[in-house]
Amino acid sequence: MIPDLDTRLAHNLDVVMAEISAPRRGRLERALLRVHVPESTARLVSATPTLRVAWFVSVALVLAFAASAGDASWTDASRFAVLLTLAPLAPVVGVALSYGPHADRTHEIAVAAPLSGLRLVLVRSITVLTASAALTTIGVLLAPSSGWLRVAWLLPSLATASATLALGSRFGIRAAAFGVATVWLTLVVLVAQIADDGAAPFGAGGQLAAFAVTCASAAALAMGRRRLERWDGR
Amino acid sequence: MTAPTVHLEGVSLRLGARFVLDIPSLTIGPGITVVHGANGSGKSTLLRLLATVTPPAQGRLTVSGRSIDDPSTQLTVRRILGYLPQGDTVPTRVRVFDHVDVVAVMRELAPTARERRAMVYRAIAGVGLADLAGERCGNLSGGQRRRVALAAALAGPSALLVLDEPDVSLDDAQLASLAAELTERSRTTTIVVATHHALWAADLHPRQMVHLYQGRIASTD
Repeated sequence: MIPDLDTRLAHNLDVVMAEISAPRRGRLERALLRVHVPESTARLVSATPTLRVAWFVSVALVLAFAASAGDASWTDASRFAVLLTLAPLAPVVGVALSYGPHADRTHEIAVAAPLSGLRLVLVRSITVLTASAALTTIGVLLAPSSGWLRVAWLLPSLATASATLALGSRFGIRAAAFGVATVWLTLVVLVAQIADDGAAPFGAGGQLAAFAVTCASAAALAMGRRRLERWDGR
Repeated sequence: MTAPTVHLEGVSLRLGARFVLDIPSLTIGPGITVVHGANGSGKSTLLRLLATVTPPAQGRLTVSGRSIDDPSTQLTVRRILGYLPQGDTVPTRVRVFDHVDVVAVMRELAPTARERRAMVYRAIAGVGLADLAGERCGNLSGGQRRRVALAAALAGPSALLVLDEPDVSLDDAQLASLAAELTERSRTTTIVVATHHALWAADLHPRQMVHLYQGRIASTD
């Protein structure tokens, strides 16, 4: 009986010492726990590498620039199109900085852990998307816009982020982010030039295309999820 | 949870046209196995294979007779695995306790947060860093950061420990302490340690020494 008692006492002491010596949880983690996000998920979210002041400041500056771009000769829709073009790139950069060996020192440990690679990627990507969306919303409120165009960045943002993840599982996140950003900017400029309207890429056709890319990317990511469970140094 | 036996048969990995690892046959049983070799001899590549991080390009890797090609076996192995990769795996901006705890979450060490955090505290105290649990990792020395990484690998019960150069940056007292800890665990655990440090390797009293040379097994003792 004595060894059992000793073991239990040692365990209880560890529990008490853990609560005494553990640092206070961060604001974000406490907020997530308050809205009943599971404790383990809240821990993973708070450890997302992208969530740095530098990233927030960079994205905020780019979006503030985009929100104030153009001059008086531009139509409001054309001026707003600059923000719509740049906003979907924020989650691409965020995703590229939140997963992979170049962005996360614990990447190799994460790959060797039983936690699903897909779950970790999704937790971090949703975190990045949420942060990007909050910043973009502020940009939208500052920019000259009206009507449904105010939310025309949402589907393209989902499309670019999910395409980065899907391609990243095959080619590496950095290469995928660079490729998606390049294709996105090229398409937006091309469509705007052809239609002679800066807001044309964000019309109904563009939104449908973004929705299709999001669905296809989600399916590709689900099918290629085993690749997220390996380390290939990219 | 019993210590597994790991077996490699005809395992090879290439980097371009060059073999970085070519192992006809190797069995690693319970107890301590030390992998020794010069820089670029394939130690870390071998350990990545054993930790299920990199799949072999050719050949078969089994754990307790089951192939890790099977996703369910891979998951089972990861549930009993403590892995310390080569290099600095500790982020600078997080606190010691939080880093070890996040790794513990990824390793699914315990069913409740309370139990998990107790394991985390025990591991941090075990590497002598209890007083620094609330310190940012970026403020620690290289040796202390390595001990944080070790705490993350050694936290909780593991039947398979794969440690890539755990001795780097540790002083003599810490090396002796780590050797004692691993020797104690080796009764119930399969432990694979890669090291350059031949004298320290002898202190581990390994049941097997594997010498690698240019990706091939030069000898086993």
